[in-house]
Amino acid sequence: MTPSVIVALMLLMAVGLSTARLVLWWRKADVAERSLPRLVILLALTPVSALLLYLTLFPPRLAAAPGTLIVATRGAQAVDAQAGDRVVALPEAHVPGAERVPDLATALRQHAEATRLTVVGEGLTPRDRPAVEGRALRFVPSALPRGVVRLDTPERVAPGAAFQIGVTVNGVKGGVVELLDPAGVVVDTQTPDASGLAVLTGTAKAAGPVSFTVRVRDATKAVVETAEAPVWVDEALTAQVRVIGGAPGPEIKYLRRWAADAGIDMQAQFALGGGVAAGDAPQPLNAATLSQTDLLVIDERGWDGLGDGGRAAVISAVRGGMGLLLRPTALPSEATRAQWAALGLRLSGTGDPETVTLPVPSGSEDKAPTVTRLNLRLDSADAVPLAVDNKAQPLGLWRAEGRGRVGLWSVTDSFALTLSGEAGRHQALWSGLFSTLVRRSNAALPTVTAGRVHQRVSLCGLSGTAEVLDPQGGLSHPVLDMATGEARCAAVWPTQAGWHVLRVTTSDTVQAVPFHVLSDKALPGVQALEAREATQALVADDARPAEANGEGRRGAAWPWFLGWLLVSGVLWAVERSRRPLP
Amino acid sequence: MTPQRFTGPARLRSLLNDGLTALPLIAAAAFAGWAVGAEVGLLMTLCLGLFVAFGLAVWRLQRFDRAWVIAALNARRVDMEDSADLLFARAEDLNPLQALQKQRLIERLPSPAVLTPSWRWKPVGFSLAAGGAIAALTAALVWWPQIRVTPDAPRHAEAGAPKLISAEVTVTPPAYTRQVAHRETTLDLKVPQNTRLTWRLRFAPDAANVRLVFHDGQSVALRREGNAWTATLSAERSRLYRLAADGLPAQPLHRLEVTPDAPPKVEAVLPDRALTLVTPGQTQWPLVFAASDDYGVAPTAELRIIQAQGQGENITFRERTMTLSGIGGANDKRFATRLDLKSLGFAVGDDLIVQLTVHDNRAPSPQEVRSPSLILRWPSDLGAESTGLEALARQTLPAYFRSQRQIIIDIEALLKEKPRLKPDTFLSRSDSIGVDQRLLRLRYGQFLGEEAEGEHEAPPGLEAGHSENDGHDHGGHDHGGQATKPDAAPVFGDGGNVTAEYGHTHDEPEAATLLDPETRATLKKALDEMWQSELHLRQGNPQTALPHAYKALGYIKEVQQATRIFLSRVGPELPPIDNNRRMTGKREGIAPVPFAVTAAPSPDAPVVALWTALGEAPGAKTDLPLEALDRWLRANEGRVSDPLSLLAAVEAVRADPGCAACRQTLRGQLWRVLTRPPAGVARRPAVTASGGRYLDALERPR
Repeated sequence: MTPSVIVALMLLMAVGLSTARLVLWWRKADVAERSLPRLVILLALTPVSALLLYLTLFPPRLAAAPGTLIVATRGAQAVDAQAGDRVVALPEAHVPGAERVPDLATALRQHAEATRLTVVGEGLTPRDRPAVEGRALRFVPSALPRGVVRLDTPERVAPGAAFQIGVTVNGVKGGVVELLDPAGVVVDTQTPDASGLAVLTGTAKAAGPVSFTVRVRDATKAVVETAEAPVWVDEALTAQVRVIGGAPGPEIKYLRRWAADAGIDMQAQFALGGGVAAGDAPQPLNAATLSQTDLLVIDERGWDGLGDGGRAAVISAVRGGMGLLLRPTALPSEATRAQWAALGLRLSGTGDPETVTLPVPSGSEDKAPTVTRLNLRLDSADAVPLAVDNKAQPLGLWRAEGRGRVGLWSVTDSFALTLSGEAGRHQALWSGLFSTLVRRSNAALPTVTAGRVHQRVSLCGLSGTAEVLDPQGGLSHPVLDMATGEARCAAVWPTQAGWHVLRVTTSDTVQAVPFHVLSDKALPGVQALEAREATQALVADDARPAEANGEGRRGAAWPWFLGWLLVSGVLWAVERSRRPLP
Repeated sequence: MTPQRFTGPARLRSLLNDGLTALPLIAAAAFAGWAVGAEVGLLMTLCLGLFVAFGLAVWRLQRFDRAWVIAALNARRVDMEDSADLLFARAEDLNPLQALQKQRLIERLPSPAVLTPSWRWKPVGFSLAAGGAIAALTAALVWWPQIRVTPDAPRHAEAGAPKLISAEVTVTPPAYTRQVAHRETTLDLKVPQNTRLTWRLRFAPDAANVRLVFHDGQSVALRREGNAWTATLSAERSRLYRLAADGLPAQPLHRLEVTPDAPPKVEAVLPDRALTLVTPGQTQWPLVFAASDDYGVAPTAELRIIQAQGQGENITFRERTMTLSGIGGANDKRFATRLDLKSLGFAVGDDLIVQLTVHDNRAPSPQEVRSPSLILRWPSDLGAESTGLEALARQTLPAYFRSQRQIIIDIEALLKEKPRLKPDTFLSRSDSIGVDQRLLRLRYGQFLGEEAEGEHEAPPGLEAGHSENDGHDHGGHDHGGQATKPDAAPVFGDGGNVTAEYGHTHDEPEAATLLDPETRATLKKALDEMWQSELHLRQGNPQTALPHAYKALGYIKEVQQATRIFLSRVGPELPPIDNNRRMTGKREGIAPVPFAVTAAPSPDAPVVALWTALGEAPGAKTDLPLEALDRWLRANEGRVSDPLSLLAAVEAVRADPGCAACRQTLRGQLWRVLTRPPAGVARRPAVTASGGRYLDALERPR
């Protein structure tokens, strides 16, 4: 029993009573007073008036057929709306004539009858995506803007290390992408491939935030877009590396020089036989010392000299997370090869030295450097190359062994790179090797999603008290969302663009994770592609049509009221005119 | 009758009057203009004054028209009877009465001088006074500060801090650059090295103790000259400077960039390669060099000609110098000549090497640059030597001794010539063949362990075959002689004596193990025959020697057909290690050598520190170590490619530490200076819980 039904019944009753009274009056009245037209008018208009009153109180629902709600997002051009469709424009859109709504959820509340949604333009912003929940969505994306549509910057860069920046450009045929260092010097130029992807390589010099610039030029060398590529260079990390060998040599000498300069704590010992040792003060090799070691570099003679117990300790340490680099300097003995094969790295071949050429970047004019490797066939079921030569043949392999990694390296004279003026290459080679194999860091760093100003940035893995420093030095304390459980997440909505630092303080450690927040105007192409992909994901997820839900919106009441007033006026006039004035 | 008759003189007089009046004023204005703006001001005010005066005068002349003449005549002359207008009316328009009156007037007409205005001296006097006043005022305004320069004069204007109102730098490049001296109104300068710079600065109100402060701390005081402050100095190196004076607010830094004189460039145009070979029939060698310099190439250049004559080790050099005059512009010159090969004495096997020395016009010491050397070669054997063959590999020379067959041929030839020869000559030639025979015998004798004799005798004290430590001890066994004298230098090119040198048999002559017994016996016979042959040759009896020589040849042929001699090759194959003996020696005192490696100090720690401080990392401290960078920069100025820009960026940040753009610029400059540190290790991120479980599961026994 809804109000409308009650009102309808009451009106029906009133009409009935009124009709009965009219008929009675007709019966009783004098013939002279009887006027048939008047009676007919009164009888006819009374239900009309009641109906109009009902409609005034309860105007009929609009658009009885379920229409489509067309949502214009940023970049939406002319909207192709048909009869029954409603067009709403989100704040980012500029579509003339469309109804402006603050967000999609509001639009859906206002147009509850809409069961189908069509999104036009770039796509939905993160603010509007949850509102789509449970509705059939059609997406008509607008063309992506010309320029950078994806920019991937490295997360962690060590000082002195090279890093890659991936750039995807749209609509720039025959153009080039340049990387400019903070001094404004072009350090790398790449031509995007067919999909528009180009990978630029830069070098980090000192720790701290550094702002590189990506510049896109079209075929006529005109600048299409200049985008900032912020990179945070971490402080140099140290690592405990142990080298065990059969004899000292130039390879180890230059490795130690690099390690000392790069802040790596390297301890090298060489058992020359007969109780004579060279190198640093020898340390015992047992589980305790190995658990302190991040990486063990050992040659085949050192491996032989370990003894069974030592080898078992090393393998057990590797399973526990230590890195192990096997560095044969000649063809190892049969027994050693069998032991290494048990670690998943088989080698065969003559072990003669052969010269290989290292790859150089395409377009480089420099002569490719050469090194000597042992002619060994490296073979493994599940290993990954450590480095490759210019014929894409692996110079070394690594594989995961338990929680650690085991590598096999067949190059014996990488020090020659230093002697031939390629010290940077030598450092990069060993830095790559060590970084691949070294023990994982103990403490898990919190993870931060990339974000923009006024968008949600989620911080996960917060093991202690978290605080976020903004570029102006302001401090905020995100509150842990208990619902995320083990992930221990919180979120912030940054208000400033630039580098922020998430500082997590526990009882014994302080972890600092920098993250960059883009301004809402930065990288429009990236924003467009992100919105497009996220919206397309919603289309794929929610293809089922939603059932018609609830009651539609009622139309305006005033036309009905006017009609009722008119009819009532006529009724009153006709009613008054049947009795002459006294 | 025309009115011009009267207006002409009047106009002339009026013009003269006006001109006299205007002249002093124009002169005064021109003087003022010159005082303010030198020649330009003078010209401008003069033109303007004349123009205005002329315009005014012309305008004033317009009043002398017909109406004025009539009015003036009527006014001045009663006898005109107020009808002067009839004078200038057309005769046709006049009635007889009027014509009569006109006739009467004409008769009474005065001379035109009546209407000429008088000389008017009063306005001239006024204008003279006004002009004088203007001139005096101008002089007072412009030159007053100069006039009042007296020791006690500097009285600071009371109106606030001084302000630079005009700056002018006279740039006088060195004369040799042939750049004209000019004036710059900007204080940022880019000048050639050793340019004389004269600053001329004016301040309003005047400043005191004005000086130029350079970024390296040097300060140059300016002298007061009139109302300006000047200083002169010679630009030797690039520097930054700023103006400073008592009470002057901090001034911006200015660049003084010095471009050093580049040394001239010389290149050989003809010939276009370093080494040219003589073409057959060539008599001249044309040479063309092109020289260029930024300011000027000296008009003459020296051509050094070196002629190398001779072959092998006997080469003589002759050097002479020629002076060439260049043609072409001052900055680009060509030096050309043709060397006459005949007059130089250029002959087969000679090399002619030329090199041009070019100077530029730098004063006082010109820079000297030498061209690459050009070589003209006349090969000894044209055609046999290919052009690309500049270094010849020479094979080792064969051993120079005669074969037994050659000895026989020589003996037979000697016997044939015997009748024609003197006995002495015959004997000496026979003896020389005997020497050859001896050499051959010795050579073959070595195969039998006979070892050296004769000149190979060891000195008495060195009877033991080898020196002490030649790695070849024999533990007491004694040789009769020795294979090679320890101190005998190996004969160059002695390729045939290898067997004797390395084949060294350690045997008794009778038991040489290199050869099997039969061969040894045959060889012994051959040697015996050689002995006989040598004996007779030495005695001058070639006839008797000849049969022995033939026999020796026969035996040698037998030996050659017998077993060949093989010598083991000594190469990189080391003898196997005897593991039983290994490491059995004394090992006391062998201690591990500590080889501590210390990290190389970073060459640019202050740069890194400042870079990090400028990084604007959230929550980082903000004090900038600019002083440390200054010190570093002073010590490492040579390492920085553009120190002026870096200094300027540092100064900008120092002046306004909060300026974000300045900090960004400084960071960019620092980035250029930063050296790339050795790439370290990037630690892998910690394993996640699920990742750890996955890795553990991989390790479970399959």
